[in-house]
Amino acid sequence: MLPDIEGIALFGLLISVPDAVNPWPWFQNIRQSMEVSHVSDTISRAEVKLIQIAALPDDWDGYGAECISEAAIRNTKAILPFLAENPDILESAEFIPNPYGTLSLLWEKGGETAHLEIGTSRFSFYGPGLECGGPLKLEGAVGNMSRNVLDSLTALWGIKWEGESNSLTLAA
Amino acid sequence: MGYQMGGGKQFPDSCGVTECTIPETVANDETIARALFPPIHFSSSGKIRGAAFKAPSGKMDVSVMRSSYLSSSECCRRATEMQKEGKLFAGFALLCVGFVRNLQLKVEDSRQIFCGHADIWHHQPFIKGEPPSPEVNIVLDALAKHALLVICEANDPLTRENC
Repeated sequence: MLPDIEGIALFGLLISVPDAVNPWPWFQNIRQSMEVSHVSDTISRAEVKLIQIAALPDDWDGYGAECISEAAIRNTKAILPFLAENPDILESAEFIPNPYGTLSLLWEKGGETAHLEIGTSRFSFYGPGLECGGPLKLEGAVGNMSRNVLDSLTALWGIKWEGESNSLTLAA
Repeated sequence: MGYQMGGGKQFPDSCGVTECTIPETVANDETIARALFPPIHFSSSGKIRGAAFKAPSGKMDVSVMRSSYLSSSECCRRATEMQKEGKLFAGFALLCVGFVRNLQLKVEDSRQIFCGHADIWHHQPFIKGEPPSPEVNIVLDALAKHALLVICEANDPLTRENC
């Protein structure tokens, strides 16, 4: 039996047409809800990693490491929705506790590295530079984390940032 | 430069004071070993993490063993002694001293802890609950990439060629 060429063409058109002229909005809704579900699954998996790290006892590294601070966990949790705007980026982050009570998110791709470390009140970041001249290096108050962090991460993936966040305003 | 394995033995002198026979100066072509405890010191793909070379807050020194002098069985015995429930020793990250120094970190003998012990020294103590500057993570991630993972079960010498 021949494939339904007309049906396939209509299906392709349906995916590409804007909402305003979409004759079947229910299909668009299903697609959007699947995307939302994927994002929330990604965030849930990241939150499980945070719970595991928060449960680390003293001396978890054998060299006298301290527990990860509750504020560092909370600050990291607050940034997850921003990272999940590109789910691949959050999905591929390594969550690493540090022996003085902070948390690092590490990305490695194509020989390049991005490293975001989050503490009780401050963050520290390095990643691919957006222009020539070495890595991008940022640090400051967690509440002032700039969109440059997200731009640098997407540069690691060679994609344009798809998210809508213009700034990362975290809950106090 | 060739090193004699087991050269770190301590011998009591005529007064009963123990003498460490290892040279006090740590040479650039020596290998040093950092004991690792999974899963914290490894990524999900088995790579060594830069966090393996960080210290608790208020400290600047990171303990290593001078594995060019200590025998592999001695290094493994000491690392195994650090094990406890839920924290099993897995292997060593082997580093060339010259590489560590090229990253502007000091490596110094600390025989007061035991003969064959040394420390990598950071420039500043780590602050409780707060991250260091991005430069520190750049250096430590580079150190982690350079580190060679060796497990004790193979009983291989804990040294690196071309240091």
